[in-house]
Amino acid sequence: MLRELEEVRDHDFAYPDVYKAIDIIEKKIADHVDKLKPPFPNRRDLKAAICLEALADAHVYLPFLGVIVRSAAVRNAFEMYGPIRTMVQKLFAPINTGAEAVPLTLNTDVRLILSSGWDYTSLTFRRDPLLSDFIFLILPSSEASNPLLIPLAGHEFGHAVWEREGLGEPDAIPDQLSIELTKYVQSHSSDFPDSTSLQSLKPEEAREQLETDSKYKFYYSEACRRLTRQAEELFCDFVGLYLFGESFVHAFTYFLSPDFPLERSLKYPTVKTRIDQLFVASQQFEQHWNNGNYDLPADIIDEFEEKPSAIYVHSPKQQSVEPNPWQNAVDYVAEHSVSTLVGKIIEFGNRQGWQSLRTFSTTKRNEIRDKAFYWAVPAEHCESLPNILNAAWDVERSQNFWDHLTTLYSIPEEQRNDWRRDVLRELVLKNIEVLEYDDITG
Amino acid sequence: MSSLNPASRTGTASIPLSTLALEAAIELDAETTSTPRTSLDKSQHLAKQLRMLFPGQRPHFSPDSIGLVCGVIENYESETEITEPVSGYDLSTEKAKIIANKLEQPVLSPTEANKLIDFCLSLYRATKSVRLIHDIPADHPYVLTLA
Repeated sequence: MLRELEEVRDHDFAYPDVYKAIDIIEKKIADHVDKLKPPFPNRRDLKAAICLEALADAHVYLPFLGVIVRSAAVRNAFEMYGPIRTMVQKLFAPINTGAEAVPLTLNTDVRLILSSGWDYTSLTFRRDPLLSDFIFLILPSSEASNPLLIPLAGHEFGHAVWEREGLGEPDAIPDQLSIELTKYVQSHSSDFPDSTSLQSLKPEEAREQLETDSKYKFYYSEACRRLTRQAEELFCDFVGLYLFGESFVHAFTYFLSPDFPLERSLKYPTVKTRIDQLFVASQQFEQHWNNGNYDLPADIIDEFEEKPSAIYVHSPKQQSVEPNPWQNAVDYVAEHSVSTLVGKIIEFGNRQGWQSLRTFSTTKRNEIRDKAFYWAVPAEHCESLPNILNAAWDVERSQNFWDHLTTLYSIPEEQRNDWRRDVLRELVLKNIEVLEYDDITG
Repeated sequence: MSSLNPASRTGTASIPLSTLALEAAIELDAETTSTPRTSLDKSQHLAKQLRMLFPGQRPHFSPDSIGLVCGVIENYESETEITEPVSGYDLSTEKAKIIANKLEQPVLSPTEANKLIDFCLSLYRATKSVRLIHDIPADHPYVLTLA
């Protein structure tokens, strides 16, 4: 790996954050090499544990390195990098606790690596203790240059918020969720063998039983793990909605409608639940901020169609380990945690950095669409990335939007949809450059 | 298991519990070849963490890992008697105190040191067992890997 790191360093990377990450990984691997030199521990199992640490880090950091290498690929849309890095620097901006209004300070310690991968999904890495300042955003290679899908970054940034705000810490949301799960078990005792004795206990006492009694603890701990993950995924969807408004839901629909095609991961709510809860979150955002930014077109729901549940029932892998009542409990409690999760975002929304990310507007979006995109030219003074993306999705969803352009009629009819698509993507990328220029020049 | 790292919220440099347990085991192992103990740093640090994580009442672990870690603590065999019959969190807390006291002793017999190494390795495995790397929804049906 050390030799590989040397070679990776020779790649032509577009931004300096990458080199910092390579330095950190290189030091970690070199430390392992030192630890694996004699003298060895007396005990064989201890030596094995030390080797396991080194092996684990090879498993952990090689994928990081792969992402770093692919960040230099020309298929990536480098135009996106500046504006979305600014977005994360605002997301984690220092919290101003003083009474006086002060200018927003970006958090320049947060580093972003934008790359592409060969899984058909956007993804991010968990916050690594070593690379704790870094946020990795990996878009599917086939769509890496498609700016209409930038809003998916919002979901991935949600994971960064979840971890950096400590929402997954034992005394935070998992604590609340485990109490709700316990109450569910207490009130559905007929579904859970040997649980009748829990009914008369206070939820905290019942939870202690569930966590420590060998009859329950395997199932309960796994249920808590899944529940926390489901809540995290819902939270991340809501962060995406917060940051990008309607365009997030269109990007989400592009990727996940009508339903996730592979076997459902039980750590995720169903796609149907996720889209339904996005609508619930949008209503709660609107009730709170009342600015029209989070109104969603109702017809989006029609794009989704849940797969028949028989697909899950016949999965032997899941059947063998799943007592279904536990998964039902996880799904139910996760779905009913939405108000808590949205409440967190509303709370964060009071922060100066978060407020600055909520400045997009329907008026500006319409202006970009009707005065600039209508003539297939980029707009000036767009004010924010979501304004551009929301306008772009309006164009994407309107088949006849460019029918007045005479250029269109010089193109064979069967190629016009491709032309529209290509022009829109180029136009949005160009407009993102204009936005960055506007930001730099003030 | 980032949630087991008490300092993960602040982003400060800290040692995750699993790493600390492994480092304490290495320190204890070195002791079996030299008496008295040459270093107590990691053992003391681990003892301090155990007292902090088991303060009485509910231990500071996430609901998905608390049962596993309490199991490791409760399985530690000590010659010190727990006088009152206790169960659940109280038992784990009492045992954690006994282990923390042992870790802080400047002199340990080889048997005691080995028992503590066993404990540290179990704690290491319990807190290291799941490491989520990234955010992929499900295994791909056509991907076959070595492990």
